[in-house]
Amino acid sequence: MSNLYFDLTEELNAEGPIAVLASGQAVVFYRLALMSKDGDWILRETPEACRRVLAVLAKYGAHYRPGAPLDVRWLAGGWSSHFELSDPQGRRIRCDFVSRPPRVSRDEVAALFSPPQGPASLLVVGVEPLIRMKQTQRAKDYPVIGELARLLPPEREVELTTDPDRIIALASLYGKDSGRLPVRAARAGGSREDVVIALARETDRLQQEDRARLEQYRRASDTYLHEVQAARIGDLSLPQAHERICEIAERWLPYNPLETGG
Amino acid sequence: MELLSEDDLNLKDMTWEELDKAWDLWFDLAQATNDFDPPYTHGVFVLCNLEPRKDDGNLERLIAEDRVVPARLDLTELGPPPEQPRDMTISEALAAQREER
Repeated sequence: MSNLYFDLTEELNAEGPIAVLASGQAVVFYRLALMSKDGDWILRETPEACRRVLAVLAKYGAHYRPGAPLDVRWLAGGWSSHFELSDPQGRRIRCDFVSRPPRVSRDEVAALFSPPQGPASLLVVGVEPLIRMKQTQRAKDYPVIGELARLLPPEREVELTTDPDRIIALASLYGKDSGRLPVRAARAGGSREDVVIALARETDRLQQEDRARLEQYRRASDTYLHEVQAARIGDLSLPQAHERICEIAERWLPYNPLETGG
Repeated sequence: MELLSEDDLNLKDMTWEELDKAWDLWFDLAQATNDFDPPYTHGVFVLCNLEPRKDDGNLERLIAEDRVVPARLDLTELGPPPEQPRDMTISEALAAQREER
């Protein structure tokens, strides 16, 4: 018995680092919780990496779920690609890929494929980029951020934690240069309630920003997704589905909705 | 909000083999909620709401593939669960395994 998403990560990277495990399975890797039923990866943005992933997934009988094609033309615009398969026990496996995770710079993404701990270890996203990826519109991600931040040195934890008690504990020693409002509230001698309120406002702002970003993708993909459904892409073998979904995307899915305004 | 349960708090003390087994067991149990999972948990389609296709035909396909078994019982007649002794938590099970070694 093993974590099949860890195994799949190793298989995807068997010919060179192309897929960095992220999101819920990264939280499992960092031993914070047994969290996610799905696998999420940050993919190297090359045609070769896309071909490698499609070949591995096809071997296991994976099918496309409604989403963008696994193709750099759309991945470069921040789109995500989604697949589903079953393991030998009939358990549902979902695999999601992006090459431009939100709130992670291109330089940071490039560095993910050359981890300092060496090529032998499982390729997993670092704690700080993972935290920033989790600053989503989902309320449930923010307690996870608080636990992840505990893995950081204190001067970084105070900049990223969502735990008001940790901010209060760390602000005086490590928050001197922080521009973060909850940290400033703690340093200014505010009450715990002041810190909680500042933190809640910050969280709400992050949620609203992410929601606005996702809303652009939703508007841009509405017609496309219905065309993908109508074409019954999920019923096709992966090679056939990939060819067909690219055809549909070329017609209906803008490469980068954030540039074109959706 | 408490994120970590008693079992979660013990994850750091597990070996990689124990963590794999614990996750595999959790993944098994989590399959029970597949039908209730949101269509997307990550990516840029999380706000998209795909309406089910009218001519989906999935149930017919599953029946044709012999992957659907007709219901034998009626859940509304099931009644309350029987009294069971307290199940061992994952942490207790792993601790017991360590003692056996």
